[in-house]
Amino acid sequence: MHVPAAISALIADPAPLHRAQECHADAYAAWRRQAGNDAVFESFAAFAQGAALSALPALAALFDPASGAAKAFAGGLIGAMLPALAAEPLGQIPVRHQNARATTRLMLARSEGATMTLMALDGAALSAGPAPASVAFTPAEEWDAVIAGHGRGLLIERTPAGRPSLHPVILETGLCLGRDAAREALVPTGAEGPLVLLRLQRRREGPQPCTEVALADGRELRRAAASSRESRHALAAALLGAMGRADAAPLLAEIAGERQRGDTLRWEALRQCLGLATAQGFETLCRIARDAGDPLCTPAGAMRAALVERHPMLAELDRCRA
Amino acid sequence: MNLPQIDVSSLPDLSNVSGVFGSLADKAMLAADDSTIIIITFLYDILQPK
Repeated sequence: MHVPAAISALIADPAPLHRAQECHADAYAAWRRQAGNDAVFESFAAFAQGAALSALPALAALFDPASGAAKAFAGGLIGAMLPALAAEPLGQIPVRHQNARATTRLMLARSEGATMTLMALDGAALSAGPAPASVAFTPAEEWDAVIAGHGRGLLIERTPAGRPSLHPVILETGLCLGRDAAREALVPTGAEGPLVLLRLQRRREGPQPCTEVALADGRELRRAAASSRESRHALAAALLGAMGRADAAPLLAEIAGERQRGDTLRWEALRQCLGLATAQGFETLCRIARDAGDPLCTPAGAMRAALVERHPMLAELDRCRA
Repeated sequence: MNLPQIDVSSLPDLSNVSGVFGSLADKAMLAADDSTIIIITFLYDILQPK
């Protein structure tokens, strides 16, 4: 493993690294204290709790083309952090970041299901990359403000059946767009030089997953849970089953029956409940299978039939409870 | 009634199962993020590079 000399020195004595972190943390804290930023972050917290963007002037101004507030907000951050980076290049900026082929993201705020992200797109890398073949739709509200640069993108609209419709859009400084991200996605496709965007997103509560759809024919390619909490609960259900925690069966049965949760979590809870407590699990399965309005009705009916075939005495249980 | 014990591994998955949260992110395109740093700190502790 190659370790550069500057890093080796830090391994021997980590004190300079701690100083570098403090330098970055101080610069970030100074930006947070700049005039107006308190109001933005307070508004963001209220937004994450469900308040309408239009009722939060400090946050809404960032996505108002006339205000120029987004540029001042992001400019303040960059102005505060660049000297810290120059002074301490091995320090880490204390906000979450992600660097993909053409996009660098800094997550400026996150609370509940809401995030505010500063995105810088590299025009050359965007143009060099392949044209998008698929697009992801997320059950969320999204707002974008173009802070700097000039580029092109596609506003992709999901249609009930068939291929999504593509609307070319010019991304220029000052442009602000608000979308229902479950129905419309914004995909930047090229830019002259760097393109900087501020994005505000608020996930909608509910069972809808994120879906990736092929642009050619609208076919659904993949889906993923829209909330980390739901994935955590599905893992917890599998773990409780593996641990043989029969005392968790009532809770798993309850989760399996709750339609406001995602199908994948409900199904996992149902499977584990069946493994932990046959009677309770089978009763829950039959209840779901009998409810024609339940999205799990068909697979539950098929699983009930398969289980009854394998264990005929379960049919008797179903008759007793019905 | 003496009910059978059901083997969870014999129960089918949904045909349209959702991946875990974040699994739509195209990992092939992801060059670096915080998770790299998190992994490096673990590897460093285990490997103790000289």
